[in-house]
Order: sequence, then C-alpha cells, then structure tokens
Amino acid sequence: MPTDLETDLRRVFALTAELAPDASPDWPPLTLVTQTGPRSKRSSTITVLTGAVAAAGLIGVFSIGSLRSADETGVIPSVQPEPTLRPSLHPELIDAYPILRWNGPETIYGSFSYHSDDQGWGGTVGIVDASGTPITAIKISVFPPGYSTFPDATPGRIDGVGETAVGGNFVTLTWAMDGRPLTMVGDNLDLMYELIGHIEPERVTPSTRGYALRGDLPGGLVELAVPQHRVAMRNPTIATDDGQSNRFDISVQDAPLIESLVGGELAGLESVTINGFHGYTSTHPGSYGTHRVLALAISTDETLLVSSETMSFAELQAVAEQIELADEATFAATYALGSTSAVLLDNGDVSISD
Amino acid sequence: MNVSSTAAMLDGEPAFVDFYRNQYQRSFRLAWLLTNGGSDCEDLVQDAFIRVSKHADRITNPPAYLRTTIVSVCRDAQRRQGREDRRLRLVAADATSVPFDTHLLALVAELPYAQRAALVLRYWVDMPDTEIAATLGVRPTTVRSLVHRATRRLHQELSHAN
Repeated sequence: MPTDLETDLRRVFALTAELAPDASPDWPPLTLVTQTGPRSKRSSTITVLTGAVAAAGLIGVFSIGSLRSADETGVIPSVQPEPTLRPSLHPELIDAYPILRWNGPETIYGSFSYHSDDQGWGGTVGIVDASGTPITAIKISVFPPGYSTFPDATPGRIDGVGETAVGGNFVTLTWAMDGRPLTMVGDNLDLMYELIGHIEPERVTPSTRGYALRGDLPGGLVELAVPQHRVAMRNPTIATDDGQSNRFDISVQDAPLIESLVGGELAGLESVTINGFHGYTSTHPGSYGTHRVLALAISTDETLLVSSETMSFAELQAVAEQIELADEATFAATYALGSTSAVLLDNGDVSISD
Repeated sequence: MNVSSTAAMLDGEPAFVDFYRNQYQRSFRLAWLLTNGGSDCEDLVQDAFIRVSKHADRITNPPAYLRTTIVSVCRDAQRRQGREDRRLRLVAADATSVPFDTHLLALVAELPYAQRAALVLRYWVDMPDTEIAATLGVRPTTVRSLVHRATRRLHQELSHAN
C-alpha cells in the first residue's frame, strides 16, 4: 500500500515532467552542428558521435554484446563460510547492528533501509577449483508472483529470457516459471543459460516458494549457498552525510557473504580479517567512479558492508575496525531511531511494526 | 567534417536514429527532474547520447545505459553548479504561501543528489530497487537507505511546515 507521500511524489514528478519544455528529437540534431562560438563544444561532440556511430556499423549496434568466455570470469578467493560461522539466530530479522565509534569530522547518521515486500528466495552456485576456491559464482533468485516485471531487459538467446547488463562483466537473466519471476546474476553467460533448465521453483509452504536444482549441474557447478527466504526486512545503515553525498556507509545485509560479492567487480578481491570477521575487499564500478567495499561475514546469512566512493581500502579498514555489533535496541538508542519489531507469522509472512 | 556529410552518415544509422528519437523526450524529462529544471538539460541529454554512441557496439541494454549516463552527467552538472543554485526556479521560497505540490517539489530540490535521484527513479521512472542500484552504481540496500532518508527528511519538513 503506497503511503500518501509516495502518491504525492508520483503525482508531483509526473506533473513536473509534463512541465518540461518540448525538446526536439530531430535527427541529426542540426542545432548542434550549426552552433559556433561559446557553444563550440556541441560541434566537437557531434563529430565524435559521427565517428563512433560509423565505426559501430549498421548491424548489431544494439544487439547483445559479445559473449563472455570462461577466462573472463573473476576469480573469487575462498568465499566458503568459515567453519566457526553459524546461522544468525533470527532469519526473519537482522541480528547484528553496527555502531561506529567515530572521532572523525562528519556527523554519523543511523537509519533503517526497509524493504517491505517478500523478496522471495535466493541462493548461490559456483565453480570450485581443485583447492576448493570458487572461480565463478551465480546468484539465483525466485520471487513471489508479480514481484517485478524487469521491463528493460533485452531479449536473450531463449524465448522468454531477458538480459540486463548490471555493471562490470555481470549480466542479469530474467524469466518466469509458473508465474514466478526468476533472476540469475553472474558473469559467465554461457553457463548461466545452461543452468536455466536445472532450476525449478518449488512450493515450500503455502505462502513461500523456493527453488530446487534439478539433475547434474552443468560445467561443474556446485551449490555455494543454499536458498534462503528473503522476507520483509529492515537493514541497519550508518553513514556520513555532508549534504551532497556520503563519504562512507556501513550496513548489514541479509545475505551470505558470497551473495554480497556477486554483482560487483570481482577482479580486486583480497582476503581480509577485521575484528575476527573474515571477508574480502572488493571494488564495484559505479556511475560516478569506483566503489570500494569491505564485505565481512558475520554469520552464514548476514554480511557487514563498509563502502565508499572516495576512501582507500586502508581508510575503510580503519573505519571497520571501529565498528561494534550490537542489538537493535542499542542501535536505535545510539542513533535516536524508533524501535521496530518483527514477527514471523504462521503463514510465512513477516509483520513489522514501529 | 562538414555538416552535410555528418547528416548523411547519421541518416544511415537507422538503429541509432530510432533509438535517439524514441528515447529523447523521456530522457529530457528525466534530466529536467534530476537537475530541478536546469537550463542545460538539452546539452546534458545530448552528451549522454554521445557517450552511449561511443560504446554502442558493446552495450547490451541501451535504454538502461542511457538512463545511467543521464543520471551521471546530471550529477556532474549539479556538482559544477553548486548548492546555492539548486532550487527549482518554479518554486517560491515561502512554503506557507505556495501550494502543497510546489512546496514538496522545493523540498525534493533541496535533497542531496543521490537521494533525489533515487526518488525520481523509483517514483517517476518506476524502477525496482535492483535497477535503481545498477543505475546509481550502488547496492540495493543503499537505494533503500537513500529513499528512507529522503522520505524521512521530507516527512519532517512537511510536518514542520504544517
């Protein structure tokens, strides 16, 4: 159910967009090529555009990009859970909440990032080399019916399967089975297409659905993280805020470490241990530069993430060393937030209240 | 290269021409929202199309790539412009004397760019958080945090005004 503010924002944005002056889509944009003087930038850019388009050729400009071979996949250092890691006590809740003992100049704000919908089930498969090190990983998700339509996917190799580039070498495949949307995220497209036929959504309870892996998995794939139910959840986040952007932010994600790493740029991964928690440094190509991320497994199903666009890994590690994990009440009191409670109902839904 | 030869070569690219024509108006409106009605929207959108064209041979999802590029160039433009000029020019300063929609729009214009972009992508483009995350280059949890912080601030400001 949308809130009044959500409804207001949709209406205001729609009205404002309608107020935008008419913009001519004429091609070629003659206003560009005839500009001189102060607007000479436009003349130069149209030349660049002309050359690039000519080089791209008539065919395949917007077709699927070149297929990725196995040797392009990122190599993930050992990401299997440490033997001492245990499942969190409450899978329907975040159990660990970060508190930063911070002496820096910025003010630290705490908040909950809230996803109110059942997120379906998610797990991870991958290929492990002879030493037990996974060399590629694929995240699989099965969503409740109607969860998302993924409207911008490009038609893939199989009817009904869409592809979306999500950064780095990673691609999301989307399709549906029995009315349930499925997605797969990974960087080995050939293997992902082979895997589709081995995934079968299954009814777990009358209200929740997971998936089963059918038959021998292709390409030596093994299951790295079993499917877990993503329920409505409040994830704690603390961050700096200078009014324009965050210098860093810290959050706890309701996903195993391996899942937190899939979808980022894996080339820069290095093992790291901070405050007794094992994890990895990772970079993630963003629209505005490179995000550096520290991902630490704090249980088999929760991951602590410390990230920044501007700080070095050494600076991020110094921040991470000042993090203490507490319960929700302590987190809420420290950052002056309202407390929340969540109850797992008999039908599998989660009731969250402030 | 002269103008006539430029036009001739571009006219020979039906895929990109169609893409440009189909996407231009909505792209312009996205830039309009992201820059609070900035005067340089047309330049920004043109720049975005040029960036797309430079990578056209290896883009698997041109609309998504274009949208991401527009978000990026608008952010860069906002940084250049500075905070003092971020208010939408349609908006009056006195919140008590203007209609609610105008006041809300003024408050949105005051938000940090990342928060404003998250709201526009969610409530105008209607994107799911996973796609907003890909567009902004952040994680889905960060998107939810951005939206949460933005809406909390809007709630506070609106409550204060009332």
